[in-house]
Amino acid sequence: MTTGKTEKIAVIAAVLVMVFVLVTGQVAYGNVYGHLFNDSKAPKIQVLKAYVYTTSGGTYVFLNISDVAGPDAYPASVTMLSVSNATYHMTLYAPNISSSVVGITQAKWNLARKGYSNYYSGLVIPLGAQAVFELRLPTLSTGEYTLTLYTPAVPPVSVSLQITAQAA
Amino acid sequence: MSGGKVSTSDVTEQREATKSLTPLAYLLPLRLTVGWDWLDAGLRKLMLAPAKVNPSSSSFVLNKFVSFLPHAGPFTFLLKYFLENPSVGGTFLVTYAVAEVIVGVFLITGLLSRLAGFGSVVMAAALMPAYWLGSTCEDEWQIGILLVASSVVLMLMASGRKFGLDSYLFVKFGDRPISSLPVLRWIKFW
Repeated sequence: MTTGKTEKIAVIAAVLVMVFVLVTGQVAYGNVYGHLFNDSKAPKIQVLKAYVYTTSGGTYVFLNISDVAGPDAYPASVTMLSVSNATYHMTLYAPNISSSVVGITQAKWNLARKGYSNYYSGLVIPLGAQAVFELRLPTLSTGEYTLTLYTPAVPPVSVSLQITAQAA
Repeated sequence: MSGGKVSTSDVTEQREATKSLTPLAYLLPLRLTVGWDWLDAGLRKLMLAPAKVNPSSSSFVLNKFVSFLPHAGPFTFLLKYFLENPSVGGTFLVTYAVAEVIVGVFLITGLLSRLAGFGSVVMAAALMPAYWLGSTCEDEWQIGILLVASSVVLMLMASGRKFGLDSYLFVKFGDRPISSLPVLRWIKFW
């Protein structure tokens, strides 16, 4: 192999490796250009879908929740939940939340990283996992409400709930 | 200092020969470290903590793929496929662990070092879906890029030709590509 060829291969390899380094770094942390970020520092609860229906026995809320950021070692928790509008306000703390949960449906890909609820943490969802939590709340009258999920140390997440006529 | 009895051309020749060998010898710590990095990873899964590759165990490594999902980009589809078909995912995991052991042993012993280096590049790049994870620093990305760059160097330098079994293979067989087909002929055994 001539020296010229060796140098050519070395330069091509260096360029390819550096492109790989810079592109992956920019995608993962923005460490080349623009503002820096690290998506695995703080949890981020995402409500993918909220569905509600009401009966005389209670109002049933289905929340499809995922944790899309934060450390992989610890799951995200919703330790407080509120339902409110101009004339109504209800706050549930972790023990109330866990006693309101009547069902949890796991996403197919969760494997052992399942969503669950307990007395201390309310709703719990591991990083990347997704689950539909079914909560039974006291019967809410017809109208529009804002449901807010609170996770310690990060901004709360709100979704709107439209309660129409009572189901049979 | 000028030598009286040894001819100048002999000295120059020896110096050149030594110079061309020295850089390769210096690669030894890197080859051993990258090799051990893979071997350790493979041995932990297959021998030291086999629960890691047991689908019914809570420490089944495939579970980690769940946490890669939120920012896995184009790999999301593949990760979900592995997770939704755990037998396929589990097979992939065991295959990857076996490859870790093979690449590790080959790099450490300097056997088929170009092919092992190539495998090491591919395997380090395959960790990409996890590059965004780093709750204390840019952990996974830093591990990944250093492994990719080190493996490229070990591959290009044919690092096993010094302090490795490739020294015998190279002397006996010379340069050998894995195939004479286009592109594949650029991938060398040692």
